[in-house]
Amino acid sequence: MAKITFPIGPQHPALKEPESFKITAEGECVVDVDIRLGYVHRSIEAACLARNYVQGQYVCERICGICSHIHSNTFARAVEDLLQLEVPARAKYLRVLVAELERIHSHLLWLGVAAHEVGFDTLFMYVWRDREVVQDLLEMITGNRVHYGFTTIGGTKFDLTPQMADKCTEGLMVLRERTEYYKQVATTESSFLKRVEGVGVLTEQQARELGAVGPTARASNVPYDARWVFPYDAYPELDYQPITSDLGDVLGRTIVRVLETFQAIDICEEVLRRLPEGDIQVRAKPRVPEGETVARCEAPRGEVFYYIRSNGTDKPARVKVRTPSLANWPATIAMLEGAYVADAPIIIASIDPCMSCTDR
Amino acid sequence: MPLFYVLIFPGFLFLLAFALFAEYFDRKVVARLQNRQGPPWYQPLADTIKLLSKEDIITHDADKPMVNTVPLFGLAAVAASFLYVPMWTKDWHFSFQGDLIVVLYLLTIPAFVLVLLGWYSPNPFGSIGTGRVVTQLFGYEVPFALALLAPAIAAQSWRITDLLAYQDDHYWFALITPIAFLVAIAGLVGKLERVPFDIPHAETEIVEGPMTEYTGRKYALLKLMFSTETVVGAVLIAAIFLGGPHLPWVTKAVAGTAVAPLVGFLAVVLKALFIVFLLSVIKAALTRLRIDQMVRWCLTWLTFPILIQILYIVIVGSM
Amino acid sequence: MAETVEQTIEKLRQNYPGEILETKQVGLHEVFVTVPATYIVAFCKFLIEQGWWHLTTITGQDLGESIQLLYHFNGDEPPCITAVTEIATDDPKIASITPDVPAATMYEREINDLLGVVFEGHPRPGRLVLPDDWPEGVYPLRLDEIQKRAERDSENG
Repeated sequence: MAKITFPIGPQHPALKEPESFKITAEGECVVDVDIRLGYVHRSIEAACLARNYVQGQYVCERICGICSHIHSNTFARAVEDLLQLEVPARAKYLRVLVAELERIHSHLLWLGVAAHEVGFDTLFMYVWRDREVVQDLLEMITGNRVHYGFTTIGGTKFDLTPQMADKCTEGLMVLRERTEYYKQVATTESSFLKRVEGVGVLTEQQARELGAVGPTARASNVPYDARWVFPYDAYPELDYQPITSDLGDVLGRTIVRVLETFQAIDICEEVLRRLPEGDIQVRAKPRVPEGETVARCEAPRGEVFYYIRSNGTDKPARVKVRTPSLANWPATIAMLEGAYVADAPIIIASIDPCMSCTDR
Repeated sequence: MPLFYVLIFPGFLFLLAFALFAEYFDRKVVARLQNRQGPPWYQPLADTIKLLSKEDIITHDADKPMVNTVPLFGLAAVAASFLYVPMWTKDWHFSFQGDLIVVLYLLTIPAFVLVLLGWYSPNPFGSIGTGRVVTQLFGYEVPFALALLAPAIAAQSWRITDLLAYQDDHYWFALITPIAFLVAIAGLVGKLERVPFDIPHAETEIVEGPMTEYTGRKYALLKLMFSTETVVGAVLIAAIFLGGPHLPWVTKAVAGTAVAPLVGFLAVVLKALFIVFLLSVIKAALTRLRIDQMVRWCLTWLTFPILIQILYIVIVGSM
Repeated sequence: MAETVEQTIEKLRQNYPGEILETKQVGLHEVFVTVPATYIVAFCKFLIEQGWWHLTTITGQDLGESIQLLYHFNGDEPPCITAVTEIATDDPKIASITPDVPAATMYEREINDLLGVVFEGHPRPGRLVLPDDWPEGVYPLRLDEIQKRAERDSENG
């Protein structure tokens, strides 16, 4: 059969951000995929070198519009490690709270996008409507719906008042109820299952070899979650287990994300119960002593990795960011090869790709 | 007078108005089901006018004569088929023996229009979409045709007005041949390429499929082709399965009076909108299938039951 | 924590048959191990066998005379290992680890784009992040390029 090469991207309705996949297909079967990145490259790693640490944190927050808190948090943790600062306990809990709220909003966003990719627009509309609940909570706590600017080097910028905490508890109850419903729809609606079951299978061995991270790896039964493997912030005091699935297909990734949403709601509620009193930040010096360090955080999409080398001035000498989407591309190529052309968009979407993260 | 029939009412102009209204109705219903506000009533008209006034781009490698004529051809075929579906009475002006076959034939033309569109545009999404149109055609076309022929076998006539008369005397065919009715609805979903059978122009996979390269006027014509086809299909199914202008008790009460055509007309419009409503609910409730799943599903759940239905009709009819 | 950083370093030194130039602890649970560039593939394979199955990423940085490559590995529990190696800036060539560690493919291509390091034996080399019309031989993360940009920025205010 004749081979046909067609592009998905850089401009394509299935992709919300520009990135190029050249798919070679024989009939309806994908035989080869070529990825080209860089369509939203903003040279953030280089831009950080020309800015001081405080500015750098804001620049890094703009790597991603969805998991922005994780980026500023990871950056701050790396710099705090270089400064040997001990962050107040309350700030650690608040960081976890915002991170988990962000996870809820990101996973709900993903569920809507995934439903849209397979043509199930009703679920998409419903999920995104209820995502507004968590967006409102984030806006109430940080003042913004995206790019919260919540973390600062040495703590957090804003405190949580008791009134806010009450509103959070209420909002989380609504979210739990709605997520319960979406879990039921996503795991029982037969025409949806037809499109996700057995699609884009990634075996456990492949997931390990190709370095998959986040829900993509956990859906292939790799229990790797930076929150529990390398606990940071308040996570050492919170006792949870990584959520895994042994399905390895798009359905597995859906289930993992939905269950993680529940887990995030649990964590938020526990954080609100256990939130210690006290300061929310300590003063940080603008000059950072010479050295190098590494920080790992679990973003909604997987592990975020920062490497920072300082040269003793107020500007870093090297900032390296590894985002989860970039780590998941080799696994995505493996999933796409041999798949149906019709399944390509949902397979690409199933890793919850963030092209801005990928390119930086 | 025939010219008025063809061009104004119930011909082309009325068809356009009805099609645009049905499109609005469909969009509004889907929007409300999806918890959205939905468009205002004039939105489809505004869309059409906007598209008609937009720049008409023809890609460099496209076959110009074909690309220019094919969309017109599709709309013309659907408009022609509309003349043969009775709008308010069972004594239809244009009726003749075999008009059911003609309507079925004319309603198949839009699929071929899409095939030609994809074939003559140099776009890879177009080629894939064309392949899918043809594959999907094998899935729904046979059961759809058989589903419409089942009542015809029962009434022993290929004439739509005879089917209407038969339903006046007996029950509506939706009650006599329910399987055929359901299969016809599913077949219509496939014909109109709506969710879950919107595979040939699946937005997130192959953009607009065969229509990817078409803009402005031509795209407006293609959109109109689909909305008019929706109306024709809905009126046709309303006529064949839901008794067309016939309303129990009411029709008998007003028979012979001046309001009889009006009542019949309203009955047809409401029944057609009911069919559109069913299509909207299906659209809101389901996920798009993959082409292989679609063909397999059509064979097991459409072709097989409709054959049983026809067998049943033949056996009962011969007794 | 399963084992302390010191224990891990001790274990590495005992088990790895090749040459280890230097070890140091970074942060809470990261070990930086410097090895010669010629043995990088062997060392990465060794780390994977020892349970650091996940290649987090490869960091490349221009130190002037040399380009430093950091292969960050982690396993299912701390500590994590980073293999550090240096190659000359004039002749930036190193063996690709992609044939043995498929996860490295994107990271190596990116470093090739941004720092001009040639990874010999990469199964699918080629531009990844830079546009097709980017001039040959200009590597945005090299020190001279960073310097040029800084000068241009200060001129433009």
